[in-house]
Amino acid sequence: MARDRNQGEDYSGPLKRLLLSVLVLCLIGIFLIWRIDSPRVERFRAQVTDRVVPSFDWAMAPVTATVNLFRNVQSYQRIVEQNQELRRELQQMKAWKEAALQLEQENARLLDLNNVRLDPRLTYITGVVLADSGSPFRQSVLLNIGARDGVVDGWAAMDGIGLVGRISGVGQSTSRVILLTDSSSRIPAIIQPSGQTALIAGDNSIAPNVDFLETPELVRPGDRVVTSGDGGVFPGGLLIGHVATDPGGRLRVRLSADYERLEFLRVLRDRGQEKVTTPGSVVAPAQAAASAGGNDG
Amino acid sequence: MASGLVSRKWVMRLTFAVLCLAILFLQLLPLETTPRRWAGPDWLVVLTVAWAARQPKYTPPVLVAALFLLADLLLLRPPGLLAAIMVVATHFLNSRASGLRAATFTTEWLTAAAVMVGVALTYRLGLTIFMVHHVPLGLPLMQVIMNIAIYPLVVFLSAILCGVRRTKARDTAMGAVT
Repeated sequence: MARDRNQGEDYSGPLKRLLLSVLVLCLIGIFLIWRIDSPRVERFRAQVTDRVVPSFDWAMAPVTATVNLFRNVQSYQRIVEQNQELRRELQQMKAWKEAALQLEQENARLLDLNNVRLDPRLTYITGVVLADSGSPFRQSVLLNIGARDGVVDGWAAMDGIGLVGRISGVGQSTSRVILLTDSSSRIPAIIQPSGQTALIAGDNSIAPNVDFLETPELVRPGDRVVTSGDGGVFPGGLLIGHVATDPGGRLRVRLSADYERLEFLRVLRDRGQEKVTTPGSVVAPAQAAASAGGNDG
Repeated sequence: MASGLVSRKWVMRLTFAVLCLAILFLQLLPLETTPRRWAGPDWLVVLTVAWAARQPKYTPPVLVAALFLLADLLLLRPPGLLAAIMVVATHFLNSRASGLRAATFTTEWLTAAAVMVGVALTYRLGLTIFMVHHVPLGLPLMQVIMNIAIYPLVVFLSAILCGVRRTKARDTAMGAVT
């Protein structure tokens, strides 16, 4: 019997093997195409995600809610402690609120004196987190807003307080946010009091590295880290977090955004800054200036 | 009888696809948005290896390729690489199936472990050769160990819940008739 079966396999063997090789070659071909022309395949990936994940959505929300409910039950056990903690924090916050109000008034007065116009373009769209990256090696979340809502690759995503990541991959109704903690995330930043520029490089841990710092001596733990806006796509001045040192003595950023609870994210619309390319005609007419320069030379 | 077996084959293939999609769905739930210090097993790989070692006809190469390509796309992996490796791995197990049928569970487990280590090594080698950015060795290593540790559980569950058992000599005879 067994021999019969083996013979049967031998009979259809070559054809099967041929099909299998074609299949494997196709898959490796896809991988090679991705390696050569990554943006196109990444767009395809965004489209596939856009198709598949929203169709899971009806089940995802209740399941997530249920799991979170069970997790919360554990935290109810220490509700009294939490309450006291919150009261203490509230007391501190009241003091800060008073300070903030005074500063706000002062700021408004000063702005009024200087007649400063703040950038009016920084508006935002809020999206709900649909899914996470699904693997322990990548850090990203999927939002339920996409090209339909005008989201563009490279925009910044924040929670209420701090920067969370940047948009990378936009589908029709979904978009992916690569978190600051992902090992491929690099964000240009300024460290506040000393004004030094640095690169915030994620390395798959909760606190990203501070890289390319010119004089680390000037930076102290607790300094504010904000985006610098270099590169044009990313708006400047968004809070990322505070500097901290890890046990090995490396500088890291303790992120301000609450990564434990990413439910809603704001995507900041940023159209880039307009550039002034022509010299002002009042200073010198463009034509005349060029010819005068030539004669002098 | 033959038609019954054939229809069972297709039902089990469908079950396999549904299970894989369910695993993907659970992985994508936004429960963990902070980086983890540990890596759980890659359930998709373990399930595929277990089913391919026990009942190769439930894991046809085209289905494995399609499911893993989808997973590659959804989980932000380089598309196609792991899918190709898994197709080759299932084919390897397929060709060993008649040998595995007579073997003890320990032998089967060792074979599966070797296959899973091989898959992880080839994947990493592929990423290195094509200079794709990849994560430090710690997490993937942990994942492979977890995969091997979880294999008996997956085999047990699929035997209990889905009836995926190693074909005995008697079944082979029936298989030959079809």
